[in-house]
Amino acid sequence: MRIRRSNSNKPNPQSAVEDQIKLAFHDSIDLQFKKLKVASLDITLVFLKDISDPMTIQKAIISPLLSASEGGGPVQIDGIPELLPIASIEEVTDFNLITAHLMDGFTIIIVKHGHIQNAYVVDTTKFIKRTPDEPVNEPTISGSRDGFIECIQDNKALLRMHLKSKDLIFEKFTIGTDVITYIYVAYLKGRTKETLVQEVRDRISSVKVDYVTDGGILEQLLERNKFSVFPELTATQHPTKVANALLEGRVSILTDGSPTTLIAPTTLNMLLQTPDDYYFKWIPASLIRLLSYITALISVLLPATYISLVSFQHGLIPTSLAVSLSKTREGVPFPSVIEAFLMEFTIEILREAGVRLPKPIGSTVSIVGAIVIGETAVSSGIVSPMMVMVISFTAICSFAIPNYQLSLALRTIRFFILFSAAMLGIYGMLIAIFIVTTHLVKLRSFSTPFLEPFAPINLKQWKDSFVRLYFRAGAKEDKANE
Amino acid sequence: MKRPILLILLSSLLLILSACWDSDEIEDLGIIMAIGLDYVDEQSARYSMTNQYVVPNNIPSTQGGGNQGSPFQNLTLDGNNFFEIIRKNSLESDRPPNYTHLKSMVVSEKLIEHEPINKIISFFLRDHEFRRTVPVFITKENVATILSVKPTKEMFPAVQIKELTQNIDRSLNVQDNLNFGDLSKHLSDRSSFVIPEISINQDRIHLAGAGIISNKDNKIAGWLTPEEVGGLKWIKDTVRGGLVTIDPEQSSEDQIVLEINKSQTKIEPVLKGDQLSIILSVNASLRLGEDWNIERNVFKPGWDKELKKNGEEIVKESIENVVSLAQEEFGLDFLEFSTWVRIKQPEYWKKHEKEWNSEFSKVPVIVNVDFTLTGYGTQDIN
Repeated sequence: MRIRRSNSNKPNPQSAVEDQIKLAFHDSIDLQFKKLKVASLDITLVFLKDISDPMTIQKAIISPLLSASEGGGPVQIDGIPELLPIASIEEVTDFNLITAHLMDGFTIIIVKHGHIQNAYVVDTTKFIKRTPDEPVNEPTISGSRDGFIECIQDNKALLRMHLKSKDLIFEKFTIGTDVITYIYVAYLKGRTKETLVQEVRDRISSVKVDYVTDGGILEQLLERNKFSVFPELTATQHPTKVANALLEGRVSILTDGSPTTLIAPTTLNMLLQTPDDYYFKWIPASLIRLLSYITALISVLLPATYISLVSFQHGLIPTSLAVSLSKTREGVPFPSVIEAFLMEFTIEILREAGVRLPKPIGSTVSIVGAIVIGETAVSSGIVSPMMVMVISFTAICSFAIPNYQLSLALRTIRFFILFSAAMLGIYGMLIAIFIVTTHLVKLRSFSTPFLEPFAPINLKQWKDSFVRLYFRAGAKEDKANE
Repeated sequence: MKRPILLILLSSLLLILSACWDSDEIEDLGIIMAIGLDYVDEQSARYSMTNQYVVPNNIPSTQGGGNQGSPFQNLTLDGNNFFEIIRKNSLESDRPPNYTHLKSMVVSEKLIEHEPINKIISFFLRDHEFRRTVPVFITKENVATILSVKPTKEMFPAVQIKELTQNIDRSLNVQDNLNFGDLSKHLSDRSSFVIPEISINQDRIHLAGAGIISNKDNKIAGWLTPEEVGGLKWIKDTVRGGLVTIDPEQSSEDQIVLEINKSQTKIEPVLKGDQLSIILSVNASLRLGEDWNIERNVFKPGWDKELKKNGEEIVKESIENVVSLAQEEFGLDFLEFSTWVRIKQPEYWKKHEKEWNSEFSKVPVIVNVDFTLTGYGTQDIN
C-alpha cells in the first residue's frame, strides 16, 4: 500500500512519487501530469503523452472521477478502482514497476489522502503499429498471409487466433538492464516437455545484457554453440509456422519490438520445411520436400564437385564432357580454383547489392550481374562458360532453400568445402564433408539433436522428413508423442 | 577455449599445406583416346606405339564455326618398351598423356606374332591410369594407319572402333568387346581366346573376324572369318540378335531370312566312364523376317516346319564347323568348353587339366539346335 521510495529522505512525502518519476524521466517533455481533486482526495494522473491514448484517459479515468466528485458523496481512498469503468486496474507498490508501466503507455493514478498514497496503473496504451502483412522473406503459396509485427501484444493475439487452445501458455520475462525488453515464452501445456520449457526459462534468465533490440540478437544470446554456423533457433515471422511448431511440442519466444519470433529447438529437418508442404496433397508435397533436400545438397557441393573433377579426378567425367570441357577451358587464364572463387565472390557481391538496394534498382543489379558479368566475362575469356553455369546454378539452388538462416549457414559451408576440394580434390571434399557431418551430429539445439530423425535414427519420424506422408483422418495427429 | 581454436587452426593447416597437390587442370592434359601397338624391328627400336591425342581446339562447337582441323592427333614413337615410349611423348607434346579416357587399344598382328600378349599387356594392366574396361582389338593392317582413318560418324577413330561392337544385337558377325579385364582373366586362366579384329574397308574402319590367341605361347595362332565368329557366338551363348539366312541352295525354296529374337545355349559335359562328351543344345526363338516365296500361306498350320528344319540345319552346320576348326585345325579350346568342364565335372578336370589341349581335340561334341518360330511379322502379303 505504501510506496517504497528509492530515496526515502525526501522532505515532502506528498509529492514524492511525482518528483521521483520526474527525476527518473529526466523531466522529459512528453511526461504529463494531470492533477484532479475528487472529494477530499488529491489525484494525479501521470502518463507519457505519445504512447498513451488521450481519449481513453479522458473517458475512462477523468470523466468518471469528475462525476464522482460532482456527486458529492464521500470517496474512500481505496474506492478509486471501483469508480473507473476499466477492465484491468492494478495497484502497484514498486517504483520500478511504475516507470516500467509508464513506458508501456499506461497511466499511473496516484491518489493521496493526507499521508497515505496509493498508486494504480491503467492500460491506456496507444502504440504505432503496421498491419500484420505477409512476411517479405517467407512467402507462401497458399495458407495464411498474416505476419508478426513489432507490437508484441498483437503478436500474442495472432498466436491466440491461430491456436485456439486453453493449453496455450504465455510466460513473461524482462531482459535488459538499461533498456528493458519484454520477452514472452509461449508453449502448449501437455504437448511440450517440461524440461524443455525449463531450459528455455533458464537460458532467458541467464541473459545479462544492457539491452536487446531484436529477436535476432536474442537468438544469438540464447545459443550455446557460438562457433557453429548452423542456427540453434529458427527465426520466423509466420504465425502459422509458430503455431505448427507449438503443436509439435516446441517452444516459441516472442520479443517485444521485433517481428522475429524464435522457435526452439530447431532441427535441420525443420529448417528445410515450409508450411506449404502440409497444405497440398502428400505425393507432390513429398516430391517438393525431396527437392528442397536436393537443392540444399547441390548448393553446398556443386562448385566443390566441379573443381574436384576438373582439376583432380578427370577420369570421372564422361569422355565427351571431358573433351568439351577441355575445349571450353582452353585459353582461360586462371586455374579453375581461382576462377571458382572469383565467380563465387562476384555472386555474393551481387546478392548483397540486390538486398541493400531499393526494389526498383535491385532488379537493375541482377540484369547488370547476369549480362555484364556473366556474358562478358565468358566472351572475353576470363572465365569458362561451364563455370558460370555451375556457380549460377548453385546460387539458384541456394535461393530455393526455404529458410534464410540455413541458406546463410550453407553458403559458409560451401566455401569451406570448395576450399578443401581445391586443395585435395574429391579426397579433400570428403574430409570437409566428414568434418561438417561430425559437427552436425554433435550439434544440439536445446538438448535436441540437430539432425533429429536421422541421427539418432528414428524411423517413425521419417514420415515427415524427406517425404511427407498422408494424414490419417480419425487417428490423432499427435506429433509430439511420436 | 584456446585449445579448440588451436585445433581448428592446425587442422586447416593440414589442408593448406597440401597446396593443390596432384592438381592438374583438365585443359593441360593430353587426353588419349586410343593407343596402337606395333612391331618395327629395327636396330634402334623394336616396337612402336601410337597415341591418339584429343586436340580440344579443333572440336566443332554447337554454335557453328568452321571445323579448322582434325580433332585428334596421332603421335607414333618408337622404343624398346611401352613405358619408355610414353615418356618419350613428353619430348614432342607439352601436355602429358592421360589415359583415364582411353577408348580402345589396337594391337598389330605382327606384334603378337613376335611377342606373347601377356608380356605386351603387362604395363597396361599394372599402371593405375588404365581402366580394365578398355577394349582390345587386333589388326592385320598398320596400326598407325588404322588409327588415322577418318571416322564416319564419331569424332575420334578410337570411339568408332569401340562403338562398332554395340551392334552385337544386330548381326551374328559382331562379337562383344574384349576388355583388359577379360584379357587378364583369360591370361590367368591360361585359356585360349579370341580378340576381335578390325581392318580397313574402302577408307572406313571395318569390324572383321577375330584372331585366336593360343594358350600355349600366348601368340596368335590363327584367324576366324566373320561367319565363323557367328558360329562361335552360338557356342559361347552370346547371340543377342542377328539373322539366319536360308539360301536357295540349301532348300527347295527361294531365299528366306529369319531374325533371331532370343537364344540360349547350354553346354553339358557328360562323363561316361572315362570318356567325356559335350552336349551343346541351342534354343532359339526366331521370326520370319524376309520371305522370297510369295506363295507361302502362313495361315496354314505347319507352315513353319520346313523353315524350322532348314534353319536349324544351317546353325548346326556353322557350329560344327567352328568346333571342328578348334578341335582339328588349331587344337585350341577358344570355345571356353574348359570352363564348363571345370564347373560340371570338377574331378575329371582335376585329372586332365594339364593335358586339356590334347584331350579337347578328342572330345565328341553333339550339337542340338531347336528353333521356335514365333511369327511372320506385321503382315503377310497373301
